[in-house]
Amino acid sequence: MNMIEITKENAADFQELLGEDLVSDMSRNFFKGLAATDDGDKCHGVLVYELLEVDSEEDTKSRIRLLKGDSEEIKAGLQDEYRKAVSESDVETSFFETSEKDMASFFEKIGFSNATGESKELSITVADLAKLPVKRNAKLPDYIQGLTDVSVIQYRNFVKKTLIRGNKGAVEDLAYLPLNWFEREASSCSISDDKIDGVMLIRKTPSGELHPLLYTAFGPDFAKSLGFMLTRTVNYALDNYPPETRIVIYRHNKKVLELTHKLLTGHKGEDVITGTRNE
Amino acid sequence: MTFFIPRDYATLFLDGATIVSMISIMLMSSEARKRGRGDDRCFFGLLVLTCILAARDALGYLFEEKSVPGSRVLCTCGMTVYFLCFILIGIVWAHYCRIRFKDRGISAGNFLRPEYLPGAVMLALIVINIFTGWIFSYDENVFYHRGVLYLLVYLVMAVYVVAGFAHLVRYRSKHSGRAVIPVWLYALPIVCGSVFTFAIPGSASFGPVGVGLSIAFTHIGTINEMLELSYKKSRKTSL
Amino acid sequence: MEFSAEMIINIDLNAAALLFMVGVLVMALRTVSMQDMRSKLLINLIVMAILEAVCGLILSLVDWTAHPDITIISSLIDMVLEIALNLQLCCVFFYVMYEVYKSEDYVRRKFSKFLIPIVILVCLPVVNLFTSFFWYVDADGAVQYTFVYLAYNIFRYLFLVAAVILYIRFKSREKNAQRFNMWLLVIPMFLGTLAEAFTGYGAFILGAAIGYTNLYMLIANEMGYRDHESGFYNPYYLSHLYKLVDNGKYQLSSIITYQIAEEGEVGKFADAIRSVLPDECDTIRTDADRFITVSESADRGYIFMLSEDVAAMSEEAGLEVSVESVTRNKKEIPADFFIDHIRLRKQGG
Repeated sequence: MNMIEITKENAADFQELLGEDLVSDMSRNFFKGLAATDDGDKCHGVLVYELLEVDSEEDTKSRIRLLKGDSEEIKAGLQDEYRKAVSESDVETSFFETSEKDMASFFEKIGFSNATGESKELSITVADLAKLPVKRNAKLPDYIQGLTDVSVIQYRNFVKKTLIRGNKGAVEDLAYLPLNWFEREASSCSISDDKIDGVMLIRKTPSGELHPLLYTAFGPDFAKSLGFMLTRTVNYALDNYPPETRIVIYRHNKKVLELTHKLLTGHKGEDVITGTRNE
Repeated sequence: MTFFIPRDYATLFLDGATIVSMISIMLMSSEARKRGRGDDRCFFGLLVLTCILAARDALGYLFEEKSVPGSRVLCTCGMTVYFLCFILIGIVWAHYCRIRFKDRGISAGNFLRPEYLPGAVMLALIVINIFTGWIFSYDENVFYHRGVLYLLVYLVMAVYVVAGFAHLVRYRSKHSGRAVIPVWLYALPIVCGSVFTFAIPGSASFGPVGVGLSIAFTHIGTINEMLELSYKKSRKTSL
Repeated sequence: MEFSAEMIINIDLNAAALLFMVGVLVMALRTVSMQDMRSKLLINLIVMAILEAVCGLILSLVDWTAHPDITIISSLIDMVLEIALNLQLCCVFFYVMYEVYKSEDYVRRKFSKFLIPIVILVCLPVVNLFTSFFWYVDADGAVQYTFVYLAYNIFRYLFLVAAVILYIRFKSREKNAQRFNMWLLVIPMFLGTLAEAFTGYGAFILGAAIGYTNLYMLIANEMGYRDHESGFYNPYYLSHLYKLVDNGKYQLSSIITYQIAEEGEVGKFADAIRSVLPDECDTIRTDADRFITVSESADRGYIFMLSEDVAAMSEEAGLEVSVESVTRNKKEIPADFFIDHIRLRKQGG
């Protein structure tokens, strides 16, 4: 079995196993992938992982996003290759999340400490947004708008500002993503003194899912701006997307978790098995 | 309150305002003083002297022509301090202008220069005046009397003040470009203060207010002109 | 001309206030950039103070009891004086708000919310002119206050109190250096108010004049840290920064250095990159052809973006610039990092 690196150039070749969303993600800076192919270039397994905290002073972590293989040997082979790769990237900890018991057992065999719990990913639909405590057709102030009219400089200046404050939401590679990577009309921003001082960034994946990735504001009116941006984005989604459109919220920290509990009462993440391993 | 005449109240207000203003400026410029520049230190000295001048001015009016025990001694000492400050303001002002406006022949701490000799002599005369009364004196009723050398104090002070401004004018003639405020504007508070004092009958003295404002405005107003930092061309090395 | 005792005192107070304010106005108009809201608010404050002092001077200079048929003029001048004072108090509130939040848009949004109280404050002296509801001038020319005057006074001073509360709350939240010191404005005003309350003479205007002079001095003092060619900080700022780093108030974590090829292009370079520099960072001209941007963040993403943006803007402006960066590792002390990588200017005059 040959272990090859999945890059943005060859990711499309593995679309059957990766899915169109991950194929798109392979062009991002911190997404890495490995594929197990035979001599005939048929792919028998893939492993995709995302590096976290690469740019910060914290210990680098790795989140295993996908592990698929025709057999346990292939998966083990991919894991061995993975361990070599992450040791070169100075990764301190690896972690995963899965709802499949077999997969969880495999990870346990290779040294992960497992536990059960609620998934960090919360999946809802656009129809669920109608139940949010948000006014429909609310009149919003002029300084709340979509990202279509903001310039690249304004966007980049905001990104720099939020990175300095250590807030990058669920986007590890926020510094390296262009403005157009986000759904500009669905996303909202707050403008003050001709500068962006708050955003709600939404990504529409190739498969049609909506991923809210960053929701932050600063400045004296940050609390109001957050409320207005949420109102605008929710109303835009209800007006423009089919009700069955999936929205996946990655609750990467406690604040996001608390916010989703507050706004989306009754919605829970899937029951999953999580595991961590020190590298 | 019959002990205080109207001019006393006005004097207290004006001199109190001068002291509060000078202390505020001292606090604001405390950080700049840590740069270690000579002109910043001289500026601080000028502010302190102006405060002493204003404090003495206020206390003087409170005790002059009043039959309070010890007021004659108090007024004599106070007036001595007043005139000492007067001359010191002149000397320090001239020194400040020379450092600030780049007279290359002068170093910040060196006051032992021949051009300050008249000032030094005047300072000595003011101290001796306590025994001689050549500049001023107070009689038994604590009334103020001018001596024969009274005007000499103002003359010496005026010469130093004018010398300081002359230095600014000479500096500007050599370094044109960033001057945004004409020199006469800096002297305006002193001039206006004097006009008010004489134009309003019975008015308190605007002297300390005018002096303090002139000093502060000159310092602040010439900040932009003065920052001719000697930037060096750096070697192209990495950090 | 015969001046009574009270007249002399009030004339002196108003004349002194005028001396302060006219001098500061001339200095401010010539030295301070009129682009930002802070300067405009300061000029408004000074102009209102001058108007108040002129009105006070006119009211003090004329013995109105000798001219009973023109007391309406003294009432009009008094009304203008009160309006000027009220507008000053409103302006102080918005000035402090701007200094605290550094956002013109935010101040404008708040202004529209406070418009009604401000209009009321402007109208009340006008109402008093026709109704004498708050104060009136009696037959002897003395000003008499009604019991409602206290409520009017409290209402207008609420703006000043609100400004103080805003400032105190801001200071308790922000641990970083904030050169604006509101006490330099409030304490002289407070002393003036006390003096006026105890003596009955118009000392508030003198206290206010000192306060506004201090505000101008604060702005002007900042210019001592600015490089006149680029508008960024000059090397004197480094001593101030080092003090903050040394006492733990500033966690210096990264330094980005820009070296331009031509010293003569400093102004052009500064104009090119100004729009891409974040407000959270300080940019300092350290040498004839070298600048640094310092930050409390060591995030490599931000450093990458800023370096890229500076390089791009410089290229667009036709300038040759080299960009380098260094970040502090977690174990290193910020003060040592500062000393190792930034040369402090030699002290001495």
